[in-house]
Amino acid sequence: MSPVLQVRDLYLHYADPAGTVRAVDGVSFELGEPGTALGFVGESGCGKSSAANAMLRMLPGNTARYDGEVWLDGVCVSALDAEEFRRSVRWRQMALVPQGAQNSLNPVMRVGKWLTEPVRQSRSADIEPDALERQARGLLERVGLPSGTWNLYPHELSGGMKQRVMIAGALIFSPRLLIMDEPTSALDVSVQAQIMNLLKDLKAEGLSILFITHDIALASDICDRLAVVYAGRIAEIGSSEQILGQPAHPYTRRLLGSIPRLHDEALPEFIPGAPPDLRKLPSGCRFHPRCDVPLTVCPERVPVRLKAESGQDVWCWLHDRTVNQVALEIQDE
Amino acid sequence: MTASTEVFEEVLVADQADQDDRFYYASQWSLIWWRFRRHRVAMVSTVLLLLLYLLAVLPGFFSPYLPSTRFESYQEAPPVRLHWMDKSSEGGGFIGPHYYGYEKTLNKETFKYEFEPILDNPIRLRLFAPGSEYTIVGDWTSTIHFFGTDVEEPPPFMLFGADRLGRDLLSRTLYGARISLSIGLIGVALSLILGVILGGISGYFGGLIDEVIQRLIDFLISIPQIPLWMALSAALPRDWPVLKTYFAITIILSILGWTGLARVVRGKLLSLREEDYAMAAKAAGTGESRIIFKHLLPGFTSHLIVTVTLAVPTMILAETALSFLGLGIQPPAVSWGTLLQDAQDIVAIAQHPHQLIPAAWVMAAVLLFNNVGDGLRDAADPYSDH
Repeated sequence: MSPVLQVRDLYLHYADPAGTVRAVDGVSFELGEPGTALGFVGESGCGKSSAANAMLRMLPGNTARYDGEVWLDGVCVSALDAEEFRRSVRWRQMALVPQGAQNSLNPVMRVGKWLTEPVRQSRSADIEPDALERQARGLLERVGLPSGTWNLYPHELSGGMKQRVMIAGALIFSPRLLIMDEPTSALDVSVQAQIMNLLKDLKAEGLSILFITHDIALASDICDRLAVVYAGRIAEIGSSEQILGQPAHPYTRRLLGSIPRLHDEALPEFIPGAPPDLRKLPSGCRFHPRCDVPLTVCPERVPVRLKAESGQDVWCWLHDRTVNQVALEIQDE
Repeated sequence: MTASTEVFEEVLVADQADQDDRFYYASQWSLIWWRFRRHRVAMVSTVLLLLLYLLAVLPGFFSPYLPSTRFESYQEAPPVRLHWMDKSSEGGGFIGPHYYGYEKTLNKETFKYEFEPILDNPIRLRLFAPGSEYTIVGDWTSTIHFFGTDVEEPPPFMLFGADRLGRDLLSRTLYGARISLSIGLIGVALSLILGVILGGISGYFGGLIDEVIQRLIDFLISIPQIPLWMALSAALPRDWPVLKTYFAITIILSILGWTGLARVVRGKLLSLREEDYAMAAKAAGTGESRIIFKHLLPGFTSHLIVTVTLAVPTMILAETALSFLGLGIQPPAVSWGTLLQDAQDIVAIAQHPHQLIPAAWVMAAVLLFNNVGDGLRDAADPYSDH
């Protein structure tokens, strides 16, 4: 069976007066069986949201380079023309709950109208208004909102309620894949827990989720697999247990080390240096200037996808046998 | 999930039960209406404006005569005064609204006709009196006028005086209102359509399209208005029927009128397209035109209404100016501008100042529209004091 989502060599570069911003630079990953969640974790500005936009082909005006393949259920959706893609893929098969869901509801539309708008605008099928309303009201109930929400404006809702409305809206076409971009960043912990439980329920029903966040703890709660993103590229991808238990990439190790722990005498370590400017990226491995175990090959050659464990791939020369061999020889000398 | 649903429901019920919170649950339009209602000048202006449009819709009923009816011996007669107290020799006291006929004499020194009221014969007026037949709409005609007299063969009651052909200026002003007031609305409606579509495209897409549309607007604005109007209306064939000329003039006026509206729409869309909900609509597979007109435009409808209200008087003034110059509506059709053609001559104004009465109507209409627009602007501004 083909995987739910497969992304191959996705690129999204922005034109900028100061140089090209390489926000997504050759990202490949897959999201296997239905009902699983893949976490996209990384620092702010590393290209996580750009990757989501690139998958949905939501390109800003200053796009300098966009290519790559997106396969959904064995169909190459990136080969569709723009109009066809808009009509048949967006929201229908891949729904995005965008970052800043708090502001993603139209302030002058009532919740009910906003929910059903994507269906009404697709004049393809003749839709029974009553059936549509029943379905949408059912979704509101599904995400735990009272039916009275139907007639409210977004400003009358709390942050958590808005987030639930967004999720209900994303489910209106029963999509295969839900992309959640920082879904809980503006919510307090208890509301966050409610949303996470809701997502877990949806996942159990067979919905695949791509969960984009900077919060590794939150991602590990729901995601079966995690992809660690650094400077527009994936550094490491593997099951949540592998990434958290035996990180293979030095960046992942330092990232995990920077999480504060309770009753721990050791201070959380920060990663020296700053995340690179996506316009002036270091050569070779993008992490090498901040890496604590750099090899001579690192500044020279871009790391390739290497197997660290079964199901865990890493883009780091440390895991290349020949490179390691050379490194050991140099050390011996 | 059910536990949290109950909590939300309780909160909602508790809030809605609280009647003091009516304000917080009111829709945008209720809020605007509440604020507008407190704006006294705007409210009065709205009522007066509606009355003005009522007059313009039913000119035949409100005017005593047809606009083409001529009273040969009353050329350039001054306004007839309306009296309440009997002025005749044996009379005195209140006899209700009435007027006196004119006696026309030639002043041997100035060689000008002078009109003196004949005070011994009061002609009483009453409401809904029969008069000449007029058309309401299509084949539907009537002879009942708002006011008139039952006297046989009465001297004309010309409240605003007569023009140089002896036609009643009040009737002509009311019939003129039909064209002058409607051209403002239709012209603005046309500019609104053009402005919203072109401004919307310009602001939402940006880039080259925006550049082209903006330079087009710059170009249109840079052309001196009056010469352009004159050139365009001079190009209209003189033998066109009145209705055709009327629509042609409206289109000519809106060709320049849309530019301002387009700029407003563009500016608003430039900021709104960056909003998260515009992005969300795009992610939901919404087409571009639907995002512009269904998702973003409703966000500044109130703003548009204000702009449109303030644009109507400009249109009215433009039509008046064109017709005044003899390039707009052509006689025998009447608009306020064609009426003012009689007042082009300084001697005419000096001797018969009542010819300027239509100008007062233009001013009144423009002021009323501006007052209403101001009121709407204050009411639609969420940051004004409520």
